[in-house]
Amino acid sequence: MFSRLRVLVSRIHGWLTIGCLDQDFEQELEGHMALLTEENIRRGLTPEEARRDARLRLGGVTQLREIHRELQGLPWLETVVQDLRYALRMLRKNPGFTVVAILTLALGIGASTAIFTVINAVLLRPLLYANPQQLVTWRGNESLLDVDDIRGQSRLFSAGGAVNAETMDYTGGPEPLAVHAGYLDAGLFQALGVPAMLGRTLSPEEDRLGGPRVVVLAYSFWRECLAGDANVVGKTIPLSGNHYTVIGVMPAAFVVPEYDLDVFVSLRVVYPEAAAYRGVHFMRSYWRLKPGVTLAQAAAGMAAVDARLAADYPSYDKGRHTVPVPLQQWVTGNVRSALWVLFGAVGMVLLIACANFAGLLMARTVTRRREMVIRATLGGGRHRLIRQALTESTLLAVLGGGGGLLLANLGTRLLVAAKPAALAHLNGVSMDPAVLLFGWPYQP
Amino acid sequence: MRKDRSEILQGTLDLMVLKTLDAMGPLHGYGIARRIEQISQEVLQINQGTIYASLVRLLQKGWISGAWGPSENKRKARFYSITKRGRKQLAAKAENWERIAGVMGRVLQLEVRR
Repeated sequence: MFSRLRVLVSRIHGWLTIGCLDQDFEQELEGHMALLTEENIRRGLTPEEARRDARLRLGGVTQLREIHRELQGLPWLETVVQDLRYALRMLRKNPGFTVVAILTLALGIGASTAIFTVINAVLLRPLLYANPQQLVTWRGNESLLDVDDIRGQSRLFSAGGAVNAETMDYTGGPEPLAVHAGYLDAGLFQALGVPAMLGRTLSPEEDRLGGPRVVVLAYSFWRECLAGDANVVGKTIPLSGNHYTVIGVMPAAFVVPEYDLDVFVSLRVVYPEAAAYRGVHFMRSYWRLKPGVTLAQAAAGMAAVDARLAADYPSYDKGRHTVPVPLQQWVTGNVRSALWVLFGAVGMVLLIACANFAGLLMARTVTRRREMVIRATLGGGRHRLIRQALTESTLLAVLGGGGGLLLANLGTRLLVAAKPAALAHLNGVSMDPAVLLFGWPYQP
Repeated sequence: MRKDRSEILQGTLDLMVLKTLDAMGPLHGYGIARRIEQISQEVLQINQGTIYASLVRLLQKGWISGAWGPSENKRKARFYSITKRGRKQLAAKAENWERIAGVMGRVLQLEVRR
């Protein structure tokens, strides 16, 4: 092991200093030849014969030089470089073929990788909350008073909270900016179970009617509008005509399900009228089941809560029928099958692209038969020729794959920018190592 | 090629070079080649040049070292000598070689039974 490392180091050194080593070797051979010749002369040969015999006994100098050089350097690296250079030349010579081949691969890889990126973000990557399997939500929206009552009346949930997205004007930058504000209650942060990256989240003491104006920032807003100020906690920022004290910054991975939000403020503080009114059911609520509580138990428990609410507030809460749904299922529900179908379709496209690519290569190989025969005749070994061919296709594949990843990046952005309703909650769609890994094996 | 000469088994040349340097002290390529030829009583057919490939391999493994110095005919020559690591390797390889040679000998002396 260690010895192999030594050899490698020595070879790299040799490769870098090949000129010097060649000179040394030349000198060594010359000396050897002289000694042999002298020995022959001592044995009684004529100088002419002595030199001839010395050459014979030493062996072919050219061949020796070649072996020596191969031992000293990194022949495989040199061959790779040589093959690559040749492959590039061949690709430049046939621009039509090259462009078609690369485009074919790039389109196939790009489309499937883009779709896989979305699938990865939506279906495969688990929700980024602590113990996501405990999180539930339901179809009906709630008023904040109802949320309070559910929290108070049921023994099902360890935490729960609600949010509604509104627009606020941020006037702290060079130009006024409309930002997405989450009007929420403190329970939401508890339910999602994500701590702040800097500072802290909203406390129940602040989350009350007439409470202090404080704000929690989303990571992206903090980076883009406040230049990622590490000492931002305690400073104030102007929002919709009021000054809010920054109490925390959320980590980059944090998202509120279904929303793309920049800042988080207390509904009770910003919009007390709505907070105190039971009649408008406008907030999405998210709940964390207590450990051991099953979905069925939660449904039964909520039926009881529904009945109580309907009895207490017939004019606002009659006809409630709350069915808790796991958050993961809620978030992916409608798109799940559609995405898989799309993925299948794109997979087919990729297969076709691969078939086309193979066909192209094959056609080209046929036209290059002559070249191959000539090279074989000139002494190109079987392995060497195969290696050369492989280098060429690998180069094509890498170029195609690179193009594919570019296209995938673009495609993903298009997909997300189009914001299909079903993907509304998708803020975190981006290419990650898993995606790159997905794109990789398709390169032949 | 003369019929009564044997070809060198792959890999054994390195061992021979190592042993020669161990026994004779520092030598240049020509000296090593001559020495091996003499000891083998001209049975072994070597292109003296192949010694140099062997020398490079041994140098790379750190089993021998080389230094330039004046040769018998006042030319500059590279003298090789065995290193401590080389001695250790030599002991191990020689033992292995003797074991194999012993087995080969016994196998080849098997009586023919029909």
